[in-house]
Amino acid sequence: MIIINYSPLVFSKTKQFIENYGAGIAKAIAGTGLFFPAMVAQSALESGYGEHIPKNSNNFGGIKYAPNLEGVIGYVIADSVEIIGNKATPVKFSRFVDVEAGFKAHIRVLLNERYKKARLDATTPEEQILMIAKAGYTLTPAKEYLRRMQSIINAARDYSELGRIS
Amino acid sequence: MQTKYKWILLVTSALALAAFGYYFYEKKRVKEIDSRVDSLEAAIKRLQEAKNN
Repeated sequence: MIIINYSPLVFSKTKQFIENYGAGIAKAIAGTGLFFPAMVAQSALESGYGEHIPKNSNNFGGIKYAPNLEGVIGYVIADSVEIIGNKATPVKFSRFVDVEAGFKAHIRVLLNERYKKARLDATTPEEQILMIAKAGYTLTPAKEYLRRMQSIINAARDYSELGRIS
Repeated sequence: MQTKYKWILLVTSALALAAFGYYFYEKKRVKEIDSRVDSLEAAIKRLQEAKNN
């Protein structure tokens, strides 16, 4: 947990990710019990450090266009297509008003009762990630899920020096 | 014991001591950060400071 470190590349990418999205992430997780380094690591991993987020969408979770979703102000059309009735149709992704709104939508699932223990009882970002995984967030074994983001958690912790946000 | 081996023992012990010291320092530092609960304003300020440094 402690001595496992990170490469300069991981630190540099994590730093850039936090500089781009950190304030919005902090606003979105305030009062939820979620650890800042854990959420940075999870979203950085899932979005390829933000590179897979459709441009100008603030959409962290690949959330399809849902006009009634809070914070959605339109949509963006990504490069990917989906097949509907043998026809390739461009995919519309929700465009959120800002990072905070996009991240709130992304973590909405983590605010379910199922993850309450992980949010409130975990004492470290690592423990929180394990508890989230074990509660059913991913089919990836919990330890493997944590292993994939351990170095990003370490880098985010060292860079931001943040734990939870009230 | 030959002087050469005394030096090897001394340097190895010093390195082991330094590693232990670093380990416990890191453990304490990480624990402090993980137990921190900042207000949103303080968190935003901290992020801004990190960016400026």
